[in-house]
Amino acid sequence: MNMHLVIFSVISAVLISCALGVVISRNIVHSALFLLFALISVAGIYLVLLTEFLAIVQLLIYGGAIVIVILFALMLTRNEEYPRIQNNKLWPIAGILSVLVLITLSVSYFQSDVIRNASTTISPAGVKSLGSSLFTTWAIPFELASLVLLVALIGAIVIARSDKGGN
Amino acid sequence: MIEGSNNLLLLTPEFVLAGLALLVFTADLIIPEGKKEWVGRIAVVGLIGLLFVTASTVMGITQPVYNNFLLVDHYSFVFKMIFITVGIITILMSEEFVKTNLTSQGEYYGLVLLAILGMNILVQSQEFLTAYISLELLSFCLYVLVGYSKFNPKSNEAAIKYIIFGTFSSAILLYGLSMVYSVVGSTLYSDIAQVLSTSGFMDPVAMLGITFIMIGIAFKLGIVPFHSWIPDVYEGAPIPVTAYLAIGAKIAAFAFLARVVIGVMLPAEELWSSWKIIFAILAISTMVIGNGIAIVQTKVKRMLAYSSIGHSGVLLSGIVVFGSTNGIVLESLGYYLVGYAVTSFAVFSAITAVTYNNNIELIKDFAGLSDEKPLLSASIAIGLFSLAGLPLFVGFTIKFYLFSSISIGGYLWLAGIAVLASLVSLYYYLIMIKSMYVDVPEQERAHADITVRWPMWIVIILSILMTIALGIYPDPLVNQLNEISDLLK
Amino acid sequence: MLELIHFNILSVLLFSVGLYGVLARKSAILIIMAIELMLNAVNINFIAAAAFKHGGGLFTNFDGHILTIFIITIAAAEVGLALALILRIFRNKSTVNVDQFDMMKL
Repeated sequence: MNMHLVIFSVISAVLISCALGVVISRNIVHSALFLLFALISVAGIYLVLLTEFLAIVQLLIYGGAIVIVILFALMLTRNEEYPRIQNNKLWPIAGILSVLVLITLSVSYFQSDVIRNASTTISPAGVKSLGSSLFTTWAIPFELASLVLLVALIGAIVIARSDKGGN
Repeated sequence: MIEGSNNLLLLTPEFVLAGLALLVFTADLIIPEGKKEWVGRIAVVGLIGLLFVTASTVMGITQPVYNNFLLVDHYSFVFKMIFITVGIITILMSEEFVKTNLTSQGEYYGLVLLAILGMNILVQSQEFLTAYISLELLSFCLYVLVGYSKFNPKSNEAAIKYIIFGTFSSAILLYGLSMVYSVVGSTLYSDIAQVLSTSGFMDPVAMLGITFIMIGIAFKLGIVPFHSWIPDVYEGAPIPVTAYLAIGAKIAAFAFLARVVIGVMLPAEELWSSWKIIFAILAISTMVIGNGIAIVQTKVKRMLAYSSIGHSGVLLSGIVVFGSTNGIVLESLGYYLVGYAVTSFAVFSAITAVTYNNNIELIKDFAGLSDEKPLLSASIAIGLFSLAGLPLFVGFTIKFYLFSSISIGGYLWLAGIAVLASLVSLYYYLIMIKSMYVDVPEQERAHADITVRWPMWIVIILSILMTIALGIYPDPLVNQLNEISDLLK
Repeated sequence: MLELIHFNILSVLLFSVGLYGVLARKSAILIIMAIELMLNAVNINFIAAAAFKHGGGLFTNFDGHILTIFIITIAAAEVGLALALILRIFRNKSTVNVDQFDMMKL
């Protein structure tokens, strides 16, 4: 059983260091690559939680689609070379605020009886049970999500299309 | 397993609206360039039909739909009617602006329709994920609409700011929801309320989760100190979209907040007694800062943005007395929202007409408007007087109703601060009115080339008439709103 | 022994790193990346709660997993829209830094 804990710790360490890389790195391309690795390690966390389906979804959508779109945007918005990123002048305040949030939330988790008394067994979520509940219980939000995607599609085309009218 | 799935007929208005939006997108493909205003007219006719459909299918019915995720009741009925009407007026006042200023004109109207769909589902949802997705549907439409004037850098920047703030606030809201979920195990308002109202329940994770959810909603509503995006977005957006943001989106976000407070917090009395104080503090800071900063603004849109922040504060102070009055406050809040909507339309439609084809944005640029375009400046002036709460106009009666129900609820001091804030707002509205009626324009006939077409005249005249009529004779509306107060009893 | 709280703490860590990124960065693209980190923290929290507490109290279905699917969907759409806007801004003004949007004062 301790094997699980070891795997979890290794993946978490990779995840958090990559996440720190995203927000600290001075080169925007490095940030994007760190993001890719962070998202892949999140898929690893999903595997530890015995949800293969979501791990695959995570890899395909986050690792595949989102990071690629971000890299595309980086390529297309390229000046001569990528300048070293400057941070907001308020970054120390941002740091203090996030450390405060971190401490408050962690303490609350340790204080919560409900969280501490949770069972220690992980129930695997099969694709079948996910599918049936997605298309029965959650059908209305599912239909709505399709409209959200439609709006995003139309919106992206309307905004990015270069048609007459401008310079 | 799925209780109530057989009454999907109660969602007829939503299905019709979604169909109408798709029809409008299709019509856009058929209607040739240069006649795109007909896309908007189809949308208007469809929405007027939808008013009747809504009234005939869901009026007077109180029933949960689909697994309790949605609740069709009088509250959602009233707000649906408001949103559809706001949509009709927005499309009518956009027509000329869209034609002269924007590209991709047809899609504009479809996005306005889908935003109404998002608002409609938002007010009837009883479950956080459904609420979140409908909120995103609304926000996505608004992100695109704010950036619609795409060759105008200001509009682009407003849109990217809006999308960053919107996504950030959604992330905070969702994190709060995930904390609540890990304690409660459900995202239904009723389940969460049931767990929270267990006596002695003080789980820190659930409490912080509720806090995060409220911060997320406060961002969406623009409550101080989470308001910093509002002035920039309102200023950069095309002006009919600014009106839609300030009226439609604000009413929707507020109706959602009221639903969450009624559904999740009110049943848990211990929790609500401490949150009341937080809401009161937020309401005061919002009123003071919104109205205070509005005084020093030189641009019309920014002035209106800060004034709308001030109005959010007034609305929030109505929420404070939920639970301490007999539901009367909900009725007066509904009346306030309707009055605020018609008054704001009087202001925004006239300003839209003035700024069609020139880049007027400073308050002093409006000098001399009263001589050249008396009706437009009268519309702005009536609207501003009404927003400030002067008698004769609806702005006075709505404030009178709301403030008296706040003081009935035992918060006389809060009502007092709200009255003071209204007095401050009168000052900066008067600056604008002075500019239009008293100041001498820098150049002669600056507003000579303004032409106003009939859809805009309909909007302007209708809003002026309603601003006066609803103030003098509010009884039919108030009677209609009377039933929503049942929610609080 | 793996427990729910391990995942909660991991999620808080990821959330605060994302929060720091949103507040400290200036480039719109980097802010969006940091928001993605925050959303992933949300997802870990949801799935962990659903997986560990399945069958206890109101935790009858794998609702947490479903919520995650929706959040991933919306996040992908959001990124697409935001990056379309960033491209448009870049074509109009040649900058993607939020603080160089200086036409409107903050």
